[in-house]
Formats: sequence, structure tokens, C-alpha cells
Amino acid sequence: MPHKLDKIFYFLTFLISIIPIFLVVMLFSFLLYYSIPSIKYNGLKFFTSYYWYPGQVYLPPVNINGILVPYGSSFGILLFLYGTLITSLIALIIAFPISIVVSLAVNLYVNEKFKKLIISLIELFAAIPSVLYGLWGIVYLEPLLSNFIEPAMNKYLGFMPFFSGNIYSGAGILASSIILCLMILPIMTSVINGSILNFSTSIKEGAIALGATRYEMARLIILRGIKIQIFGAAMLGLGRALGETMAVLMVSGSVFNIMPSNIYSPINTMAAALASLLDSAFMDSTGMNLYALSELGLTLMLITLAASLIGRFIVGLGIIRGFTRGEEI
Amino acid sequence: MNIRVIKDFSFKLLGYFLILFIIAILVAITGSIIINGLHSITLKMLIENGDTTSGGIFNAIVGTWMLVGVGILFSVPIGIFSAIFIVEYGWKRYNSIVRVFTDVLTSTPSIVLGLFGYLFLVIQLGFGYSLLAGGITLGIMMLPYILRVTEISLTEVPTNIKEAAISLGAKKMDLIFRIMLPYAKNGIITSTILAISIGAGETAQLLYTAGWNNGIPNSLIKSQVAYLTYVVWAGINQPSNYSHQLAFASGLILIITVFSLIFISKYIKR
Amino acid sequence: MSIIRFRNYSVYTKDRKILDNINLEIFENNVNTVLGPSGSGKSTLVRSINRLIEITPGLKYDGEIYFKDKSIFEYQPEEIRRQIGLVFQQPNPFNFSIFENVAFGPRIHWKLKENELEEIVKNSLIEAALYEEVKDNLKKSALSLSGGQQQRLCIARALALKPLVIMMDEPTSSLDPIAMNKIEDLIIKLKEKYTIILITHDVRQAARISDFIAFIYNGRIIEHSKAEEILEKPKNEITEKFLTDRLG
Repeated sequence: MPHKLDKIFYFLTFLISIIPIFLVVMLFSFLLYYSIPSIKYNGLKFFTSYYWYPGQVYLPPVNINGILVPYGSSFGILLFLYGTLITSLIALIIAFPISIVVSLAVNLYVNEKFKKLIISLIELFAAIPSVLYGLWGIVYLEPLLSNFIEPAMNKYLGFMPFFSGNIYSGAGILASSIILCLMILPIMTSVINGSILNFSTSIKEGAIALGATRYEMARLIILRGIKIQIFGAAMLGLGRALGETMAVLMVSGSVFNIMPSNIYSPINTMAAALASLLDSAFMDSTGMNLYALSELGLTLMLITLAASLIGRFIVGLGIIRGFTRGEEI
Repeated sequence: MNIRVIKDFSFKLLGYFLILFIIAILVAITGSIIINGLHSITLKMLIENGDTTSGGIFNAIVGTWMLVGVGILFSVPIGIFSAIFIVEYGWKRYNSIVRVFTDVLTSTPSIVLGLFGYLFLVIQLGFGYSLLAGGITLGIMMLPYILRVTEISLTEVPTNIKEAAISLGAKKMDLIFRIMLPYAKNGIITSTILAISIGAGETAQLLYTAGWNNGIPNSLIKSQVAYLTYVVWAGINQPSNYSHQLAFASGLILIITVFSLIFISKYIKR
Repeated sequence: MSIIRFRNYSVYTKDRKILDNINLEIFENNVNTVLGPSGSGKSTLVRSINRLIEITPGLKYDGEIYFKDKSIFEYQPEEIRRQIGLVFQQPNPFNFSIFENVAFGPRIHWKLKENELEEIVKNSLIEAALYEEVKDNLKKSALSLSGGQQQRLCIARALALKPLVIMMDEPTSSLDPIAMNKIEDLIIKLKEKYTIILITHDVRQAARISDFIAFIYNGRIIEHSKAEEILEKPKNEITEKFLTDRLG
């Protein structure tokens, strides 16, 4: 590198390229640093208790085992953990077959022009800001669920334990799951569609030559080639669902300390709880609320990362938050 | 008709039904927001400041653009220069390390980024709830996207074009600034526009980094900022009819903004 | 007078030799043709002269190449590349206007006023026999030109740097016969002012315009002499076989 300016530029860009790494290191360090007092204080109870109470932050703090905490406070995330997992899983269970059938149908039955249109329409789902899902959920989905769909489900599916019992305002597990399902559809459809595209031309020709119907071809495509990509797509969808905050915050019912009894029950998720509890945490002079929420954030991040990174590793590309660009696959 | 054909037909029917069903939901969501928004929005809202229960959303519109602007100013240069390093100088192992870390950033839930923004920018660096804290937190989210798309665009510059420039005696920097970046221009612009549209629709990162301001912030730090998604969230959770109208009006502006940005980016790509 | 000299110059990849102990003189103001079948190392030869192979991963080289009696490794690579232009097999104009394509080199090497730049661009286009065809459309995209015009634009782009040597790596292989004729005429004209190194596998083309021919085979210079000598009575039987095969 003989030129001075080039050398400077090299080091400059090198330093800049460290920034993403630096940010992630800082992210983990800060979360971990702020979590440590909570990890020490709460121990395993953090994960086994579902009781979360910030405590009487205006009363003088109490000393428990040498650690100052707000009077009456308790930090257990089991409810949130359960809420995050159950809503994401239900969302995935609904989105999984839909995205597979839609991507297959789009590739097998729809002509090229409409196919592009359909795919970009589905990708538009990813572009809708998450608060607008919440807005729609509050104004339309919740009444629809509590007045029509949930009573019907109760009547016809009530023989199963999770589907019987009280119906609430409509905000709850089912509403959150439906919204999450819509939000993860684009990423899953896009990934599955991409892997079908990569795979299908050779299969198509061969299969048609053998006189197979398109449905048989669809089964062939899935069986032969893209199982693993479908799994990757599911993981990416899951990763997105686990971390989704605002929409779920708005339609979950934001319940505390009451474990849900059925699919209609109000719920809370880790992300939503983090968003709703943070401002009261600042009132806590002992800091324990903030530490506990940091531990909550760290836990959420690790779970989300696990799903997303597995998905990314399998799919092998950098799909970016919110936007799934089919052509990059 | 044999069973194979019936199966095929049923599958086709199911596929068509699901496609139409999904598109119907999309239309229902966007349609309901647009129609409610059109019913709610008034000219007065657009030009007056407000507090999510009264007044307008001028401060939120301006605040949103300011936050997105800071986010873009943060993420675009870092993204472009990192991508340049990765494509032009980086060695394999280093590049894959950067890739893993940017993947981590991409996968981080927005509220966790918000918490980080709070702990690091608001508290540690002392920015307070502010443009800089909120904007940079948005920028952190945009960064992996800009970086990746720029990287792809730079990699796609044809080798024979690069060799032509080098053969004319172009130094590394001539090559980068006069050839590579102009060639990657469309990709960079498209990704920037999409990053703007993502940023404009975000909420969770901003709750504890930007705060809320009944007016326009008067400084980069320690002056809180209003933004549109907050009006949607706070407005719909308040009992008054007018709050709901403000929420829908903000929703309308958000959806128009986001969709038109996507439309523009698709147009540029072509 | 030789302007470029190879001395025991070799290029290797990990497992094979691409150029094997090259010793070669390039003579000033002549058309020096390097003739040989594809894969014989011709491109590597010219890419060695302007030090393009240094940025090709996986290649090693030793030996010397002298340009104006000084090792090319003692020059700045950018300076070598300014003085020794390279025209590629596929026309590769930048996705800029015609003017900006030609102005690219001068812009990065010299600080020029706009009118000086215009002068250089105009003269280069005239020298490359393209000016008459494009003089009213200098702002138009270079990609709108035909293949032959694009190739002459690439020549003009190299000429704009006022080089001493112009290397052309199979410059006509992607062009139609008419465009090829124009480029060949141009080469003959250019040799009055410049030294030309022409890479080709086309024996007829070599016969039409060469002053000297070096026959290269499997990375070795098999023989090198005046064009007429090598074409009429090749000393080596590989050369002879190649020539008779290609000439039918």
C-alpha cells in the first residue's frame, strides 16, 4: 500500500467496519453488566416464578440478604416467558402451512406476472409498521375475536382443554398469535419461495415429463429438496415473532401475575413486558427493577438470537429485519 | 376424473383460497387504517403541535423525520465504509466475523435495542431522551441492512470494469469513489430509502430513547422528541375520541409514507 | 530500440507455471504481436507488464520486466499503467457518458482545467478514429455505442493518458469483421506514435498488421522474430504446426 492517502483510508474504513462488532459487544456488555445484580439477587427464581411486582418504590427500600430492593418487589418472568413462547409457537403453527401452500401454489399454478404481484403484496405485510398491526388489532381484531370467533371456537373446539373456559375482551393469546402470524408470513413465504425457485426448474421439467400432476410435483419438491430451508424459514419466522414488541403489547391484554387458563386469556410477553415496565423501573432508587428488566432483555435476546441465527445459518443469507427481498435469495 | 386429478384440483383451490385470504387481510388492515385515517385527519392536525390527546401531530411528523434523519446519518456512512472495507480489503475470516455480528444486530428485538439505547446513550453517554439517543438507536437497527445491501452492490461491480479502471492507473481510492460507488449507487439509494421506511415505522426503540415532546426539540441532546408511532400507540390507548382520531391520522401518514418509500425504491431498482 | 524487456520472467499458480522463463523484447513504434493458442499465457503476459497480476489472488512471479531500462517494479504501479495502456478483449467502457469515459484517466492523474480536459478528450477520440461518429453525442452513455465503437472508445480512453505503449488483448475477438477492420487500420496508424503490443490467436490478423511476432505456447516463447520470417519459415515445428493448422 504505497500511497499515504490509501493507507489512511484503509485504516479509516477498517476502524469503521469494527463499529458493528463494537456495538454488539457493547450491547451484550451493557445488558450483562446491568443484569448481574438481578442474577445475584433473583437466582433461578427469576425463571420459575411468574410473579412480577416492581415493589413500593416510594417506600424506603428493604434489605434482603444484603441487597437493597423496593419493598414487596418480586421478579419472576415465567408468565412472560410462557407468553412469548406460546404466542410465537401458535403464530408459527398457523403461518407454517400457509406459507408453504402459498409459496407452492404461487410457483405451480400462477403465471409469472401475478406471481410477482402476489409475492410483493405479501412482502408488504413486512413493511406495515408494527404499531399499525396493534391499532388494527385493537379496533377490529379484538371485537371480531371476542364476539364471533372465540365463542365459535369455544363451542366447537371446547372439548379440548386449552380451548374451553372464559372468553375475555379479545385481547390475549389468540389475538397476539394471529397478529404475529401475519407479521412472520412474509419472511417465511419469501424464504420458502426462494428455495423453491432455486430448486424447481429441474424438478418441474423432469416431473412433467413423467406425467406428474402439479400437486404431486409440489410434494416432490418438498420431499426432495427444501425441507431444511423450510425449517430455516420457520426459525427465522420464530426469531421475528419472539422479539416482536409493539403489536403484541397492544393486543396481548398486558396481564401481570395471572397465568392464562386458555387460548382466549390475556397474556404478556417478554418484549411487551419490557416495554411496559421500563418507565416505572426508573422510579426505583435501588435500581433493582432496571437490573431485573435488563436480565429480562438479555434472556429475550438470547432466545431470539438462538432462533434467528439457526435460521440464518440454515438459509445462509442476510435477510434483513422487516424486508425480505426475494431476489437476494 | 381420477383421484390424482381431484387431489391436484383441491390443492390448487386451497392455494388460491389462501392467497386471496391473505391478500384480503392485507387489504383489510391497510384499508381500515387508510379509511379511518381519512375520516380523522384534518388540516389543522398537520400544522399544529399536540400531545396525543389534543392539538395536532406536526411535532410528531417533524420529530419522526428528524429521528430518521439522525439514524440515516449514523447508519449510511458507517454501512457504506464498512462495506467498502469488507469488499475491497477484508480477508475472509474477518468478513465472516463482521457478518455474524451484523446478523446479531439484525436479530436483536427492537425493544432490546431500545433498552441498550437507554442504558448506553441516554444514561452512560448522558444524551438523555433526545434526537441523538433515539436517532442513533434507530441507526443501529438500520446499519446491518445498509451494510449488507451496499456490500452486495459493491460485489456486483463487474471485474472487467474494475480492471479497466485499474489499468488506467486508478488508485484504490479512485477505484472506490469514482467507479465502485457510482456503480453501486442504485443499491445504496434503494437500501437507504427502505431503511428510512423501516425507521419511520419503529416504536419500541424510541420509547426509552426519544421520549415525547409537545413541541419541536431544540437541541440534539437532552431535548425529547415526538414521533408518529407514539401517537398511534398512546392515542388508541386513551379513552377520548379525539385521541383515536390522532392515532388514525398518524397511522394514515405512516402507511402512506412507508408505502410510497417502498414504491420509490422499487422504481429506482428498475 | 526495445522499450520493454522480459528477463527470465515466470508466473506461477500453486500447481502450475503460466509463464515459463520469458525472455522477450518489445520494439518501439512497432506492432509487436504475441501469437498463440488460447490458454497459452498471452493475457498473463500483458497483465504482467502493467502489473495487473499483482492484484490477482493466487499468482506468484519472479524474474524481471524492464520498461525504458528500469524495472517495472521500481515504478509506482499507477505510473506504469498510465504509460502502458491496456485494451481488453471485451469492450468494457464505464457506465458513464462518452466524455467521462475518456476523461476518467486524465482526471485521476492530472489536475486539469475543464478546457484542457475537453482538448484531451477530443484529441484522443480523433486519434481513436471515433470523434466524427460521436462528436455531437459526447454526453450520451457509452453503453449506447456499438461494440466496435465501444472498443475504439476504450482505445481513446487509453490514449487520453498519453501512454508510450498500448497493449491490446485480442481487441477484435468479440467484434464483427467490419469493426475488426477499423480497429486493425487504427492499430497500423497508431504505431507511428505508440508502441503496440497485440495479443491474438488469429494468425491472419497477426499476418496483416504485425511487425514482430512472438509465438507463445504453454507459457513459453517458442520463437520471436520479424513477422515475415516467422510466418514464412518458422524455425520450430510447434510454430509451424500451429500456423499451418490455423491457415488451413
